[in-house]
Amino acid sequence: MKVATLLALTILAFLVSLAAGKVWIGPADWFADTANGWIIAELRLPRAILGCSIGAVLGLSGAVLQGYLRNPLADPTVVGVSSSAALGGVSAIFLGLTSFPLGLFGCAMIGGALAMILLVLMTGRSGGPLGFILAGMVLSTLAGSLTAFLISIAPNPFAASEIIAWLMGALTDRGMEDVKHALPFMIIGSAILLGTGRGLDALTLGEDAARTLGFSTTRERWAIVAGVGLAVGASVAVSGVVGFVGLIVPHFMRSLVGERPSALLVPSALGGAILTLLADSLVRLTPGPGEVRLGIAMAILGAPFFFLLLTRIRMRAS
Amino acid sequence: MIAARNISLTLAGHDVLRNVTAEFRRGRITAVIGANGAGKTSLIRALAGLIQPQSGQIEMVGAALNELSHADRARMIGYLPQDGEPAWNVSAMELVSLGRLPHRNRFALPSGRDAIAVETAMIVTDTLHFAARTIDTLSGGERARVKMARVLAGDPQWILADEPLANLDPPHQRDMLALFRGAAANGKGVITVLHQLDAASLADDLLVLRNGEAIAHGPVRQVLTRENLKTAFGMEFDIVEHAGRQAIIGRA
Repeated sequence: MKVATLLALTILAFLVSLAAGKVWIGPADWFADTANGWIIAELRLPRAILGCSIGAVLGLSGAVLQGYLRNPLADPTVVGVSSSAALGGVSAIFLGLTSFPLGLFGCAMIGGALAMILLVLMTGRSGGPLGFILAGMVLSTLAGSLTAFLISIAPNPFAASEIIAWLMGALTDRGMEDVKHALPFMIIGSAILLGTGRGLDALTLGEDAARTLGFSTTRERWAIVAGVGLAVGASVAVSGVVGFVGLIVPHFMRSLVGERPSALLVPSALGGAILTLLADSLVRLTPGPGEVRLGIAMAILGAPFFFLLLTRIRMRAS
Repeated sequence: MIAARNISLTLAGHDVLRNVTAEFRRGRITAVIGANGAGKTSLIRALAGLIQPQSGQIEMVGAALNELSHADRARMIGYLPQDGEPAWNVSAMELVSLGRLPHRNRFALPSGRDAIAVETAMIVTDTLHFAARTIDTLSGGERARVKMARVLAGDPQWILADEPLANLDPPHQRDMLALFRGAAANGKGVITVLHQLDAASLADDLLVLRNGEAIAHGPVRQVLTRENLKTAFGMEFDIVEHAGRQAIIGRA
């Protein structure tokens, strides 16, 4: 019932995302053979599909990672896949590969894949959540520093500003080509992540109990690394880094559908889609010719929420 | 039957278990006692398949434990860990339902049998009346019963418990022991680490560990002696009979 409501809201947010922008376009014009019809088909539809799918994989990845790490403060950035994929994208801009088809997308996916391989190598067969978080932090820091290094040695100010703008995360000027590249990875990654639900439930009781319930925590971790790597890697590749969705959405959903990790996955995906679609509609409404970058808008919205979350957890602990 | 045959375990260069051989039978409660660091928890974890001894073998229904599939092992053994506050604030019934995971296929919804098993376990543990309440709202004793219900819901042949009486008041300790007794009466084998020697005296069998070695194993009446306790703990005890039961009193 709640899932059905969320699904309805997702569809509604999708439609809002089609209509909203510098020019409002009502449903009557969507299929018309006019300039407005063209805007819908060529600009807003791919943008809405990407907003929906990126939000969904970020919400889903956040819910899975929080379940696996048994920590409500985890999000897709902790495993280092986002920043590594971003480093890949930045390298493509730096090396001038963006003019090639799949240049930026391919480099970002390679960056994400390398992060996945390093994560598996660093955490190995054993090691609990702590090792996983530490490995992710090392990867994030390393990728972040290398990105900063590339910006600092950028050959000209234009390249530097292009890199910085891309890093901020946005869905501006994305087309159906981007959808075609990213969507398959996101679907495969999400399918893998949805399969981890039972193991996450078992982990509620701790790692020992989960293992005696027949779950391999190693296999669970590898599935999560693969799923997050594919889904979040692809999302970063088309939109840059959009933070906070994976952190905020599962937390909201917990108060709506309860805390059982597997029950949280689909609602978190839908909630992530709704939040991203609405936020992306909102940034288009900024006055003037430009628009606020989605990543920035999300961080400005998200940071205060993060503080609130921390103080509430602290209050419950005391 | 579960049998440990000559198992030795070294953790981080430390000999935790040395050549332990012991057979456990179903329908009986075996209490594992010994001083801190004697290897009690390691033995239970090895029996549950959580750690693999470097030498020796653990056998279950005639097969080596590590040759059984994860799923088969999960259906046969119910493990009650010592720590284990649930990570998420789920309802009591959701927690108990986790015990059914080994019986369900991937993506399958809970069946009628699952529902009956969960309800039965919650009736036995007297937890059904707060099934919908979340874990955060329960007292320590209620939580302990819910965790026990989770183990019982899986209907395992064996219950392996690591210090299940820790942090429980006397009436809850009594209730927990009664649940073990009921499980044993239903033909399950119960192996439990206990620090409370009075409680251990209510078991059927006793396994005494000292520095990773099994120094005595057998019926409580034969094994619970002042000599064994002195060897195990390095201090003097008096054993007092009262109303057909034994009280174990440590000397000052």
